[in-house]
Formats: sequence, structure tokens, C-alpha cells
Amino acid sequence: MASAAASIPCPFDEALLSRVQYTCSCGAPQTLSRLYFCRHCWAPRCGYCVSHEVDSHYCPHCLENMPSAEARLKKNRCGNCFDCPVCAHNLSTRATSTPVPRPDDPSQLVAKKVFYLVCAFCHWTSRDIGLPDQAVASGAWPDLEPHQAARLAQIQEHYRGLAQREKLEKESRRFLGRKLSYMQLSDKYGVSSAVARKRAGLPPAARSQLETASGAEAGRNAVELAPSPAVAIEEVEVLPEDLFTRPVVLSDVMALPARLSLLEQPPVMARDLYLKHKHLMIKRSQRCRECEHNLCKPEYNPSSIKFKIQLAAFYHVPEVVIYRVDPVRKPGTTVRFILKIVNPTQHPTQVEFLSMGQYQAARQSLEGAPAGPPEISPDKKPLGLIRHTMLVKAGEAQQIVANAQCLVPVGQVHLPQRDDAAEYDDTGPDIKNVVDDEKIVAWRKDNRVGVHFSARIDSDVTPNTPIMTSMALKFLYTNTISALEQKEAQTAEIMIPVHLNLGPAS
Amino acid sequence: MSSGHGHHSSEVSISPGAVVCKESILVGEITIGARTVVHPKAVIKALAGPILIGENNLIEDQARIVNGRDEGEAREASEKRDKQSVMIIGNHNVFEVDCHSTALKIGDNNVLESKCFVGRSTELTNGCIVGAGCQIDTEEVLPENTVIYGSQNHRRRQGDRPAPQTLQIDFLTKVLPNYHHLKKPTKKM
Repeated sequence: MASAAASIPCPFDEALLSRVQYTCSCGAPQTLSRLYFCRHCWAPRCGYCVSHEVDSHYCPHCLENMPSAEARLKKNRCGNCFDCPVCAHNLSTRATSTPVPRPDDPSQLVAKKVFYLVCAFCHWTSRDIGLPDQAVASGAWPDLEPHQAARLAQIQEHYRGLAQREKLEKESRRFLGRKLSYMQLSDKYGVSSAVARKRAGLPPAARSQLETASGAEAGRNAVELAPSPAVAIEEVEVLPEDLFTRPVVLSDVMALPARLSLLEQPPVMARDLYLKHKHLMIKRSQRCRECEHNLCKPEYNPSSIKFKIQLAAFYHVPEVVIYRVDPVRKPGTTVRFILKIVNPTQHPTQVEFLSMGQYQAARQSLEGAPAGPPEISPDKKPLGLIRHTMLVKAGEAQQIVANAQCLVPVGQVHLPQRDDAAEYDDTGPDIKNVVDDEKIVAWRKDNRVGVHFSARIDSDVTPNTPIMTSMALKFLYTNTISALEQKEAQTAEIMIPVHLNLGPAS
Repeated sequence: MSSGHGHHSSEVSISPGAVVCKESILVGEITIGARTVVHPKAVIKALAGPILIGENNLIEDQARIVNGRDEGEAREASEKRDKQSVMIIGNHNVFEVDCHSTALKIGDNNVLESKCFVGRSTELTNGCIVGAGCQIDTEEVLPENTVIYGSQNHRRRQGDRPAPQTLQIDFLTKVLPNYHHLKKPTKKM
């Protein structure tokens, strides 16, 4: 078993994943499986180049969906499910029967079904803290009143009011530059807009922009209701006399993670523990920051793991896999290796390989005359309501420094489309007119092709340092969405730099 | 493997009412109490001294209860001390699948969960639970109702003892004879 595990690495192993890294449009290296591909901008996007949005809240245990307003009201916790306060595992409900006196004849006992909560992992039960068993399976467990709940609520209310006022001020400041109206001025200096309207003789029905921020009145009132200042306690509770003499029972003292997980009343001892409502989880959707199209949108139903939209890079960008590398990799020599290129799309493509020098030159010539994706028509232009839509370039620290110069094969390689039935089809894909240069193509099978490469390792590389080499993948991308509108498929050549880790130097 | 130690079987004494499957591997001087269930392929080896197992215990498949020099135990250290050490296991204990116990003293109502290991110098009192995959090999007496859980072998004290598996034992006592050959009780009623 152990030897088999060693020879077949886990596909999710970080060391394995980082062997081949693509470059996102922001410049950061990232594995193909963690990249999106925006088919509107025709560019790869990493997790930093997309804006993440919360789609829905749900409980990971009972899979109940709830709208975000309700989730906020419930402090992002599920009302019915609990986590173990000791080990954070799920608490499960256990039923048992207990004898209770009969209502009509108290001298006789009848069995009654009661429920309590048990952690299957650390065996904590709700009985451990003396919580009485419940007659119903869920929903009846009493909640813990947070320490100083009333004061916290008061302070929260106060700050909410402050935030509202600040927001209003900011909004009115935005209009100041343009045109200073009496309305805005009056709002800024504390005359409520409704009063101002009356003074100005305007009809109250017409809604001004300022009023749309609903609750403007409420917000201002709340600020006036400032909480009472904190008062220092004069008399401190006297510590128990046996504080230093009583032996400490470590198994009863709660560890820090357990204390921090129950912030309402941090449990110091095991008897202070209390049921912890389960945290909700969210379904996220990702949006391209450049064009604001959705790149990834999960289905709404929490039990579904499918996506409505999933523009992952591994559906669009040819996959590069290190197929074979020379076992001897001495500094100053040339190492030969074979890369497997896989076409994941339904369209045949041409792949070409550029050295980083060629790539930079190609990029510069492109920047002069951008032949990028079609301009978004003005009526479809994103509103920019939600967030700043800018891409941040990756910093220097994130760049991968190559210590071997990749000698790329010259010429194009044809890659047939992916065919799920290829396994059962003896004829194979139609590659009649494709003549492969044997110096480039090592082998080919269905939508996969092995390509010969070599790299010259720098002479100053010390043994056991990983050999990093870089090249750019240039491939023909067939856009399928524009095909729907224009009846003919739009194609474009896309270049993505790829960094390869060829293993340690010998 | 089981045929290789045929001469040992005379040393195994099984109380009436115990269910001991023939495919279980019993080596050495072993006493098994009433209503105790020993599954097929459970291993009980009394190498360094006798093993006394009480009543109402549940010993599941591939559980290993070993007294003495075996399976990587520190041979030299144990040889001197364990010449005549007796392993005593109380009542209502559960040895889950593939657990490994070399503890010399186990009280009542303990649960050894799957794939856990209890060392020779550790003593389980009553109501202790050694969680799945947990390892304990310290020289200590575990206080009553101790629970060991998680990959870090965290400990806590439980309010109650784990409930005895009476229903499960009753069920197995009925069902196991239908599908397995049993070792006959050696003691008279």
C-alpha cells in the first residue's frame, strides 16, 4: 500500500499542482485548475482578478437556504443545527425514552421520548452541562443570552446611526463639486430634508436623490441616543480563597479554541460550555473585474454541486502536463523533456510555443494595435454600480524567475477537438491532412499530443534547486458565445505564459 | 494460522453464555466471562501471562488484545517484568474493529474505538473512551470517564459513562450462532 501511495501522487498535492503554472492576466502564476477564463475578455483570470459575490447563505448541516437579510438577523448561524462547543464537530440529536408520571394517574410511570444532543467525536453531550432533555427533536433549545446583551445592542445602534450619518455626508459631498443646491446644504447642516422642502415650498411627494437613502431620519435620531459611557467597577469580586491551593483539573479547563469559538460567554471551565449554533456557509459567484460578466455561478440549491455558469480555464485553455524529463539535469547542460498538450474544447486548435523573448515582443506589437475582444456596445456597458472594476497587477515577489532557458520547438502543432466517445471510436479524430514534424511531435493520441522540448540550464544553478523554465503557449481559441449571435465562430490567438518546474537539478 | 496453536485451546476457558466464534484467534491461558461476545478474526494472545476477560464485553473483528511480547513490544523490558503478569479486563467493555490493547488492567464500561492503541503501562479505570485512531502509551492510570479524541489525543472528562451495549450483545448472541461455528463453553453451569 505504502509504495503504491508513493508512486501515485495525490492529484491535489500542492507540490504536484505547482509543477506547471500558467500566468494570469494580472501576471501572477497560478495552476490551471485555479484559473477562470473570461470568454468575453479572452483572458485568464485568477482569484484576485475576479470579484467574489455572495449568492446565498445555507446551513452546511441541514442544507437550509436563507436570504441574506435573515442570515444577518440570525448572525450568520443556523437556528436548528449546533456545533460541539468542545471540538467543533456536528452535534447529532439522540432520542431516548425516560419515565414520566402519567398525567391522569401520577402514581404510574410511562415512557416518554426525549431528545438530547451528542457529539460523535469527543462524546460531549448536552447533558454534560445539565441542559434538560427536550421533548421535540429540534428548534426548542434555549439560547444563551450574551454577556451584557443590552449594552452591546445599544452601542451597536449608536454606531449604526453614526455610519448612516457618515454615509449621508459622503453622498452630499459627492454632489458638492457639481452644483451646490440649497437642498444639499440644508441636509449637510442638519436641517432634515423634509423640513427643508417645506421651507422651500416644494411638494413633499417629489423624491429627491438625498431622500432615497431611506431611513435618513432614523439615522439622525439614533445618533442623538448616545450610549451611556462605560463605568469602571469600584468593587472587584473577591477571588476564592483556595485559588492557589486547589489542584487544577486540566481536563475541566477549556482550551483556547473552545473559548474563542463561544464569544458570547467564553467558557473557562467545562461547566460553562454551551450549545453553539452552526455557522452558515455561502455559495459564491465570481465576476470578471474587467467586463463584469459572471465567470462562475453555482446553482442556487444548496444540495446541488453543479454550476449554471462555470468558465474555468481547464475548459478552454489547452492543458500542459510534464510528460517526461531527462533524469540527469546538470547545470550548464541542456535537458530534454516532453510536454503533453491536451485540448479540452470541442473545437480543433493550433498550438504554438514562444520563448519569453518572443512573447514580450509579440505583446508589445499587440499593445500598439489591440486586437482584443470586441468592444462592449455602449448599451451593454457595465453600470459599475457594485465595485471598483480594476485589475491589480501582480507584484514582483509573485513572479517566477526562470533558471533555465526554454528552447521552444518552431512551428504549429494541430490539436484535434476533445471527443468523449474517442475511447470507443477506433477510427480516431480526422487528422488526415495533418503532417507532423517528427522533430516536434513525439506522439499523438486523440486530443492529446506529446511535444519535444529542451531547456538550457544556467551554469550557476546549485544541485537540488528546482529547475524553472518559462515559455508562452499560443493557441487558437474558438469563441462559442459570439457564434450564437453572429452565426459564425470567432477565433483568436491567445498567448499565456507557462512556467514549468522540471524537478531538482543534479 | 488457527490450527497452529491447537494445543493452547485447552487453556482457554469460556463461561456458559459467552459467544466465542471459532475463527477467533485465542492463544494461551484465557478466561472469558459470561455474555461476552468475541467476533471472528478477533485476536486474543496471552503470551506473557494469562488474560482474564469479564462479562458482557464486546470484542469485534480484528481487535487485538495482547498480553506480552508481541508485535513490536519492547521485548527486553517486558521479559523481566512480565514473567507472570496477569491481564485483567472488567465488564461491559467494547473493543471496536482493529483496536489494539496491551493494557494490563482495564476496568468496566470502557470503549476502545476503531484502530486505537493502548499501551501496556496504561491503566483504564471505568467509563473511559479511547477515540478512533488515538494512541496512548503513557505510564498512568486514566481517571474515570476520560475521553481521548482527535489526532492530537485531546482529553476531556465526560459526565456519564458510555451506555453499555446490552442490546447489541443480545442481538449478536442470537445472530452469530446462525452463521458461525462457536467454541464450546468449557465451564459447567
